[in-house]
Amino acid sequence: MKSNNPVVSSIIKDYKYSQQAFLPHYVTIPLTQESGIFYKSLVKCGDSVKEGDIIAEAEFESGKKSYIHSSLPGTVAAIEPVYAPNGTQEFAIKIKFGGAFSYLGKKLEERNVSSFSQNEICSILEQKGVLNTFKTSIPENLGSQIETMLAAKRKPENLVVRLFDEDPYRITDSLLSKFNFDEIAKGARILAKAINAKGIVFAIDQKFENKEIFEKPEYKDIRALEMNIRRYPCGTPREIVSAFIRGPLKKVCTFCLSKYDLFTDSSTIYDVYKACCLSIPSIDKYVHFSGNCLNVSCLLNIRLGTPLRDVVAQLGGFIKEPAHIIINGKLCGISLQSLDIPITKYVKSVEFLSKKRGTDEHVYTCVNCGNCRFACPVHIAPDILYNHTVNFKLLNETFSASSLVCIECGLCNTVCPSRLPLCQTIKVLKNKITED
Amino acid sequence: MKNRLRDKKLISGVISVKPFVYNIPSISSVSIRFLIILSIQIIMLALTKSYNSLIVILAALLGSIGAAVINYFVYKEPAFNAMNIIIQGLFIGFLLPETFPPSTVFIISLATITISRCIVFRSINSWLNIAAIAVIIAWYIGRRYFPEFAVTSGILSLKNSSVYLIENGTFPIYSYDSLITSFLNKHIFELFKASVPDGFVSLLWDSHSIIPAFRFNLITIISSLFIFSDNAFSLIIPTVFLFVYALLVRLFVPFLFGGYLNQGDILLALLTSGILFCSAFLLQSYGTSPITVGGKVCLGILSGIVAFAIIGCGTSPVGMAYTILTSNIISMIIRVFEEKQNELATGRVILKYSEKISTENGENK
Repeated sequence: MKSNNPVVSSIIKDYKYSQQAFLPHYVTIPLTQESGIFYKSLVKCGDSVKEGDIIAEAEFESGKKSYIHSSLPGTVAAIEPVYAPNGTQEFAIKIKFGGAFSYLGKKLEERNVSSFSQNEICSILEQKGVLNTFKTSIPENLGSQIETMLAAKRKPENLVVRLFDEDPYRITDSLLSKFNFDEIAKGARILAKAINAKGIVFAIDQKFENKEIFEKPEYKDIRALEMNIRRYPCGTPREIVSAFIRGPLKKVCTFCLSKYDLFTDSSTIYDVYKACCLSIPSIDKYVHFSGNCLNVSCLLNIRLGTPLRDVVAQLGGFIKEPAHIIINGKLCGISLQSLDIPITKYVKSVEFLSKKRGTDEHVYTCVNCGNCRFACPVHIAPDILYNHTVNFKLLNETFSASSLVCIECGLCNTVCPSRLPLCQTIKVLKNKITED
Repeated sequence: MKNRLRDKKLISGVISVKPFVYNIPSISSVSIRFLIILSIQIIMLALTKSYNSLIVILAALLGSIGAAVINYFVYKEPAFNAMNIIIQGLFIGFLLPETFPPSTVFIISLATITISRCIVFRSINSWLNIAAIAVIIAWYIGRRYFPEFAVTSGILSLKNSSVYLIENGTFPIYSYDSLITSFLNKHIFELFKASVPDGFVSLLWDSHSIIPAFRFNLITIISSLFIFSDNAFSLIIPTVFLFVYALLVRLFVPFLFGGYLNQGDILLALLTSGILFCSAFLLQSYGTSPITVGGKVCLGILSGIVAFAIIGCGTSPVGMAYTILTSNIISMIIRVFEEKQNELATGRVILKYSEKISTENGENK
């Protein structure tokens, strides 16, 4: 399917630089950043914290720990429930800004990481709280993910870095790749070392501006896999591996990609670079702000826990009253209903949309148009699975097992004239079958 | 409002799930579009003082409103379904002749929609087109009110039968016709070394049929651009249908009546039987078209052949209603094959997936 958005390459040409977001008076850092891991607060109200201090920890099954760091120096004002950008309500540490910075504004020397071992890199990634946001809906702790992958029988052999966004309506990773390509290349080499990768592949847009950069001798260890990002889905491991196998790259490479390889994106790799080379914990994030309610669209480097309300003030306020706040893209993202939601590690983009731009979302009954089946990239029948789950229509057990194949791209939803929540229903069915 | 951060609208908004962008309009958007497009045709009827047609449409509309009220009290369905029912009523009114008694139209509309929506199909997803059923019922009840075929076997053997009918006064010519025709011939058709005779512009603008759906062909063509412009419906079925039907008319009509091959009058066929109106609005409604491209092409071809068999070279009063119903039945058969194909495809997907899982489990062990 072709997405309706304008070509990303033409949009990102207009962006010349990223900006530093204003520092907020308060930050509210939720105690859940990656999916399924709940952090325990190590601070209490009234405690003073410095920028980058550990404020919460979580222990993995392996016994190793991951941490959340304070994004601002100041005092812990409260530990209170907040709505997180993933739509859940969680406890968060509220810090009142005050005091000197440990990292911001200081000239940091780049460390020599060539002597670091695999384990050391994994430990750094865990301690600095680096998340793999390749799938924004399921962010994972990168250090822990690598350890798990290395412990499995089939180990990752290559590193794949996606330099564009999984959602065709998001441009954060594309912009980050444009502005920080050198850092991303360095970060990729570090991560490749952590998994002892045979090859590094950068999945890029066919119209990537600096394509010739890969011909330079300093980047000869990195292979560029060109993809047509106007087609959706194209950012999933399945599509990337398929593009590699079918494309010309396979003939010139000594390795072959598989779904067991480590897949990351430019946001993650940039955090890897900061954590390993600059020793900066994951305390800030590049987030793209856009939408027809704003006067400007921009890429901001923003402190974790900054409420959206503060960012909007920096962007000049709203020119229209927003009816939707879309986090992480119009196709794969989530809609929120408050400006007090804080930025977390898995937020990549925020879009403020007025009601006029909102879509007709009323749910009707299935009209058997069959559009969902025609659009499905994995060739399942979303309408049949939906009617089975919602309307209790009898279905062969093996047929309902086809829901396990769903990659949750949401294409079926986009072509449904009845606006049925097909993708969400299949996910429910999938979870039910997995539990059974 | 600038620089003021109000989030009242956000808080009071409806929680929605992904995606927040769609590739096709919703069924309610399409219904609203249909209502607007049909309103233009109604305005045209009012402007041309076709009050009898308006009364027939109003009677059908009232019948459909009655059915919508019954449907609401029986099933408590949302307002959209009422809108959909009203559109069906309008279609019935448009496909019936202005000479038909309004009271009978009201009863046919009310009974057909009520029975089909409340008893047989019970949802907007009907496998047969309700408007086409109603027209066929009306045909059997009041055949005398429908116009006769304007073409005879004698005319059909001629090369340009429409010119004969225009000259004969069957299709009236507007005063501005020759002016526009000469302009088109001079500036456009001259480039292709062709010309059109007087009367075709009038026929395209208003065929003066007593069935409103057959009249404003140009407006129907422009309306269809709006319908097909945003992927609401696939262009495959109407395009293939029109192509096949026009091709058959061109090749075989005079030949079958003692004339020559490849001499048929396509314009007469397309502009006089509501072919354009029905292919734009009725040939493919939700649930009555196949899923796959192959199925759609197949339906288009078969419908074209059926239309040629039933309508011939045009001026048929109910030929399109029969064509639509036959097309719906063909679509059902194609859907059965598609379902079987889908089951096989799903089976393959599951098999592939289970092989993958077993390989992974084997590797993990």
